[in-house]
Amino acid sequence: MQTVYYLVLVPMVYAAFAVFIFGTAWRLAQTARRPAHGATLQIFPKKDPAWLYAVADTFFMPSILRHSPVLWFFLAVFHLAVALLIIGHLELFAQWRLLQIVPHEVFLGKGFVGLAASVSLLFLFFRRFHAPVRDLSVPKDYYLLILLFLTVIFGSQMDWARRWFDYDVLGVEAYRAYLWSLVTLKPFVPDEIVYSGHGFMLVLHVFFANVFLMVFPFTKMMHTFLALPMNLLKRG
Amino acid sequence: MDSQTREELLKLFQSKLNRAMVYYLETCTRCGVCTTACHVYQSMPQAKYIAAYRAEIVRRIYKKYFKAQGTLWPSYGDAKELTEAALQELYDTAYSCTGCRRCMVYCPFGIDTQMIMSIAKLLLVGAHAEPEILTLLADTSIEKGRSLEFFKEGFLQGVKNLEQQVVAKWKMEAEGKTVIPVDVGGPISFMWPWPVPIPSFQRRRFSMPQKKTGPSVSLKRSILAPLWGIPPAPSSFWTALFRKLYA
Repeated sequence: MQTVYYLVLVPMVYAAFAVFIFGTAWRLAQTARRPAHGATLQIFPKKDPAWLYAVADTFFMPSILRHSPVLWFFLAVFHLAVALLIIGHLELFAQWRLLQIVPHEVFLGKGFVGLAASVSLLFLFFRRFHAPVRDLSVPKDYYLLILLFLTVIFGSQMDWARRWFDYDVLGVEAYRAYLWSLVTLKPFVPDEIVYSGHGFMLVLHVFFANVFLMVFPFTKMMHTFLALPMNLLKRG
Repeated sequence: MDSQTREELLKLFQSKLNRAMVYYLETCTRCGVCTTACHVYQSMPQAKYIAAYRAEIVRRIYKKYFKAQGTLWPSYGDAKELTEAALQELYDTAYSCTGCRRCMVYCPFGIDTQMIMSIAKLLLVGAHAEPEILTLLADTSIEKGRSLEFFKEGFLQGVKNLEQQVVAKWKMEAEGKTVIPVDVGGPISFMWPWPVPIPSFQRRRFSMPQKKTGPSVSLKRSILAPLWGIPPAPSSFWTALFRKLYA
């Protein structure tokens, strides 16, 4: 069992990050190498400055807000929660002064960020069971949402156990030691992770996150990087 | 469909894959916001008329032949082989799309479904399965465009003949002027004092006097305008002056 733990927590993490970084770079480079479209793809009416409208379209999704406000709400909650969770994970690497401008315990939001992400993911998942989105969906849409949900729920529940139920065997110190050893290329898995009753939750979280990172460059997740260039095309 | 035809059709498909097209084919998240955008769907609410579904019909063939998943795990993304049945499906979707690009405005990524439909149409033309009258008309137009010089003189003569009638009708206005100028660029109106271009009525709508309702409106209409989806503030006296001085 410990070998499986080690394989997931160390070699697979390196592999996942390698696939994520090189895969994404490769995909983006491959797309950028293709010839540009001959004519303008700008929509009417022209807005000035175009780049500002493109940025607003990308980050605030005004067309969704207008045509499907409920979806917009959950999308906004989900994307915001993901952004906060990324910040939370950055704080696990070390003490970042910059991120502690508003002093808080590590993982912003007292566990509610993870809850918001899980609930909005459930919304996004279950709306795919209803027409007309059901008719549009293909299997990989469901797979991706399930994968994301598993990642978020196993990650969040570690936070919930600490914040809401006073679980204190496995905590930020262990995560920090583990992550820092990965960054400095001296991989080491603390005993708390291997032997505590909660360790397998972390292993599952890391496992699903690894799988997610590995499939990232080859799925529609690339919209993370392509949304802005596409909206720039639209705004001209 | 024999394999040689398929190869040729896929070559045609490949020729359409520029950067924008790949963005459009790769990025759709199938969120369904474009559902109500299509006026064909509005009158016939069937899934096959949803913009994302139209694009998906082309995208399925793209997944099958231009992505690894088409070989490794076709059912993962519903990849589909290019067959006679697929062509029929392409026909139904391509020629029920008017190419109005309304769905592009709805799409949070600005996916141009009309452009994806151009692949479907190219494949159909390549397979000689398109509505023949359209190709005939297009060929005629192209042929005429090739020998434009040949038709130019006759066209100019036609315009000259028209001039006589205009002069007969508007004697006063036409006096001492080139009645129908044929060597001026840009849109020219017959009913407007020549050769002034037609004014833009769109612009006039936006410069109508706005009711003042306090500073919040001006803030809304400033740099934050894209957030609310409203047009930015009409240019004030100061910006007009600035433009006059420094333009």
